[in-house]
Amino acid sequence: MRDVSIIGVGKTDFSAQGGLITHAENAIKTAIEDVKGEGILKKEDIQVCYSGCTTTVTNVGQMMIMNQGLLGMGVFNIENGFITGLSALYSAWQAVAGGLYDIVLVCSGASFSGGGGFMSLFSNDKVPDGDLLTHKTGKAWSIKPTKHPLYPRLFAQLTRRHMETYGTTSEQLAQVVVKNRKNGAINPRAMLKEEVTTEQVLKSAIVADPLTESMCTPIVNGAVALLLCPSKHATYYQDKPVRIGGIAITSGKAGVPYLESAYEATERAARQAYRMIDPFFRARSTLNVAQVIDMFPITELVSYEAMGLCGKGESGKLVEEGITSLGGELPVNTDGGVIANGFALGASDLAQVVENVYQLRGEAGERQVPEAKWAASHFMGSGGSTFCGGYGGRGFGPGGGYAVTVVTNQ
Amino acid sequence: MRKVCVIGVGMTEFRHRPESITDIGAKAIHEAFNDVKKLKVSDIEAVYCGNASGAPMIGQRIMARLKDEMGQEGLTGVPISNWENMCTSGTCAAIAAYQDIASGLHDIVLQVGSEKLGRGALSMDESGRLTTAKGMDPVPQMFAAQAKLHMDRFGTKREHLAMIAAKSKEYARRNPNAQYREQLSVDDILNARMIADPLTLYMCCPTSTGGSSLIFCAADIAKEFQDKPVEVAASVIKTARGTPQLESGWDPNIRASREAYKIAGITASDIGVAQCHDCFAIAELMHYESFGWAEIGKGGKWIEEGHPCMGGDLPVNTDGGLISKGHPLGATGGAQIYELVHQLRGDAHNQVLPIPEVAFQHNMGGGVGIGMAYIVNIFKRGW
Repeated sequence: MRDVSIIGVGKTDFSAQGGLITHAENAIKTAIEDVKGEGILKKEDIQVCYSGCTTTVTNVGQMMIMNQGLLGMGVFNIENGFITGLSALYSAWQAVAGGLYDIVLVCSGASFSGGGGFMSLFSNDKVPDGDLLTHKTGKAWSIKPTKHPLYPRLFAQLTRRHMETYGTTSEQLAQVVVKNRKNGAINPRAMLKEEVTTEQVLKSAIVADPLTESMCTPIVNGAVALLLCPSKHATYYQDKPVRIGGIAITSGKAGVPYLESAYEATERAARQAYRMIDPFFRARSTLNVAQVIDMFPITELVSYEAMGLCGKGESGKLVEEGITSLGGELPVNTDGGVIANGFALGASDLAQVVENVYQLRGEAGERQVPEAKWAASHFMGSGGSTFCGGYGGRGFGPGGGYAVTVVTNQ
Repeated sequence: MRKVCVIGVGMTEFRHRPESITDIGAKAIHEAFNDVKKLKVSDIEAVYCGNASGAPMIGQRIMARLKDEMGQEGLTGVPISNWENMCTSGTCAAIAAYQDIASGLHDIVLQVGSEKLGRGALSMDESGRLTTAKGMDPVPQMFAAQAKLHMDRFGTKREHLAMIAAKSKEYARRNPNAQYREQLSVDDILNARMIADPLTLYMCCPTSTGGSSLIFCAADIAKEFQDKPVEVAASVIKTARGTPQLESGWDPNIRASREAYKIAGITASDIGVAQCHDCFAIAELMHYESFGWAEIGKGGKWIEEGHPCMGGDLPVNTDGGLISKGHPLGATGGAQIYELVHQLRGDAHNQVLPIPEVAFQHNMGGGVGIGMAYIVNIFKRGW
């Protein structure tokens, strides 16, 4: 298998505004411009596009590229819940690594303007306030205000269990939010740029005990595009290419006990991704920066443990000691994560990779981690996955998807 | 790149029925497992699911259903992703499975396609999701316009289109999985209800419900699971460019087939049996020309001479094609490959003789005016 590098990245500013197609077109344009110099990469050099969209709309990838003079190349459309973007990247990486294609475009995003569905792809309506639900037909995601939001309740349950078992405290949960919002404040492209204090987080309205409003992420629109090529040619296109060292996707297994199911699939994904780099890869001492899913503080804490950044149950302490803050030993969610950027289904997962690319290129501005060489990211979901004590906890939802990616400039 | 083989194929019958989309998918997977020796669900290393109208995480839901269908746990923790590309959704999932193994990442990979559609023409509902409705027919109109242009420019006759439909009906008679198996003469077809002039009812493919599943495996271990593994010799996907209406029926197909021939190292005359996307009779007629089987404009003559018919030199859509077998989008690609694999093995319902060595699959689909997707895959004996 060939090594694969990322030669161009494009990410739109996530916001409640803008339809998917507008976002995607901007992201693709930025990614192509991100490649060095004019005329180095011609549009017709891109052989195939892997597009992701969480809304089940037909031929969405074709719509993303049609106004940019890119039609003619092959287009695949992929849906995989919260890890839609990473599933597209995973398949694109396979295709380049296997020698099937050389220059490949990955583009993924979400559309919830005015509630979701086809027209929202083009509309600039605001994403409505409310909670993420599966549409009553079961055929799409939608957003509606509800008294009993599903995801906060599921993750509140997991949070309570984690607190009982490992003694994690509400303050530690709040510190995750404080840290990420602080990172967001120095990220000129973050959506929420105000810092918050532990007190403010804990005092905001309770959504599902112990999760408060500030701990839950708003749903937004956005898109991310990446360009991949074989590493051997990468410096021709980009002065600072970033190589994909390890990438793995898993889904949840049946029959795993409730708390264990929050870790099991991620642990497998991390093991696989690390093993692709080195059978004795040591995450804590090798990684310089990481992005993990912080949809709720508990997901970030569990990710620390599942990815081997700390021992089981020690994640609360890790964040308390500031090890994962900027300036700490291993900064996590340096762009502010989804807590500060909003959660764009299908784009937030790739946005982590983009942030890692900026860090490894040394282009992260104020939030730059000095001499970053190895960066990891973790995203997971969805549809009532095992993470929420789903199938493993018997009877609720299928296996979801879990992705771990490690990139490097080495 | 490693060589990749199809070792197991399975499909359910295509017809409208109340069964759920996940049950149908699970049933198709069960069939595919019945087609191979000694393979367990836990041996599968990745799953790719094709579906056009379904729902978030449809592949995961089908795998969760597998325990009821096969008695083996389907949620084994492997990567599962869901592929949409309208009528080519199933084929895209198959390509994903092929690429996965070709790249060397996994050795045994499962593809599944499942679709549940109502009766009537395909259209979009107000939220942009695929639905079927009576009285809405933008797609037949588009192909009818193409047919008229073809008739004007090359003198193609209505009878030629009817012959393609009649051929499809003749093949479908012996295919128990086909949705419509009654025999119709050229006259019956010409006199049927007009959908969009010149296309009558039987020149248009029906929407359907059904599932199909394929098991892919690295060529070097394929013999352990299947005595007659079928090798993927080429796989190419394209989208349309801005071309005039009639030319748009050829351009992406010409580009895709040329590239596929080159990768597989064959010419059009090496093909022994073919599946092409006959959503409308005119589409199939123009495919003959795109793929270099007939000269441009001579597709009508080619069917008149009986080349793609039973006993002809290049039988096309030997399972009845979309027109008679039915068209459940996500399952269509897998069903095309199902037929070709059986043709290459020599045990198809309408077996082409002598047993072919090279098989050609073409699948296309998508929304009008947004580039669609055009896929050509070439298969050959892997034993």
